[in-house]
Amino acid sequence: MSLNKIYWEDVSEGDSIPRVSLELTRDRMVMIVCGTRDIFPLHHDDEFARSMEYKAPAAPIAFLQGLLGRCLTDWAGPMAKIRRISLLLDLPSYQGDTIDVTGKVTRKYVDASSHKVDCELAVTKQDGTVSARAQAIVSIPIRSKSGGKKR
Amino acid sequence: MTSEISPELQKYVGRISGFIEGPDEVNKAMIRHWCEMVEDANPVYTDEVYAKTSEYGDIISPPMMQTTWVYPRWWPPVELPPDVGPAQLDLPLEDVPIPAVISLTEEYFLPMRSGDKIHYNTKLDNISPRKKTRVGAGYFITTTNYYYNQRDELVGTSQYVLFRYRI
Repeated sequence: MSLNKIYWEDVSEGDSIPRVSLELTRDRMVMIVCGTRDIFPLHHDDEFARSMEYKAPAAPIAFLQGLLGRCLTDWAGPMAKIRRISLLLDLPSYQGDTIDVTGKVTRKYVDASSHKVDCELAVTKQDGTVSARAQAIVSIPIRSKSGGKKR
Repeated sequence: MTSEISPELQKYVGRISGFIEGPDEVNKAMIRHWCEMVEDANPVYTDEVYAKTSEYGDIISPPMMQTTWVYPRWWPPVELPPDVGPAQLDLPLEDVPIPAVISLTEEYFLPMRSGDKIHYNTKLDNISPRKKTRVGAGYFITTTNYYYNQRDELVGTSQYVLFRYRI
């Protein structure tokens, strides 16, 4: 397993956070019910979704949170700690959509408890429309305390 | 000037529900199901050998799973008394039946370890005056869930802003 490890010292404001992408196949929609335990029929039942005036089953917010969290720790590594994720929802993520998450670092700072970065992320679909916008705060290890090599 | 909300609705603002206990302890199988869903290979969630060498000493849950740990079981049916849990915050808003989540903000304070048991309660933070929007007329309702472990330590929060409206 290759693990991307970064240290706070190496991060700059404006750095981009690599894209993650998943297609919401029918199998994926089933996995989302298993993974989140959210069995509300909007998330898996075509007829029910249409009766709610959605064009297809829509993934729950927890799926977006999971994908955002993965995007952040794929980039920042397993010792990073996600402190906060804030999501503003624009459009449902439908079965059949391909959902992308991209982001960038907007601020790097130290507060009382740790070394942190603020990030802005966008959840978009295959046609470029925005499904949700997110902001996150992540604590990232520093070299001196992480056991990493000293320069 | 915006109008105020009715005294009947105002009574709910600041109200806090009773606690609801999640059905399962934090466990590796359900963590794996979550990770499969989004293909999250973070080894602190899935690799026991790695996790044991980490500062956590064992597998931890993705923090984003806090809601999942307190979802009611699917069977047998959960029968809560009407004066317990989320029902305590059911607003008398039958005329605005459609709920839409506008935003969700989660904060994560402590790791949830394998074996932890999570419970939560909900506070009704705010109800806006009735507003007209592009989709319809209704109320913006803000609630916060507080998630605790078995030692009553606050592990995280979720703040929802919901628009309850009619077309």
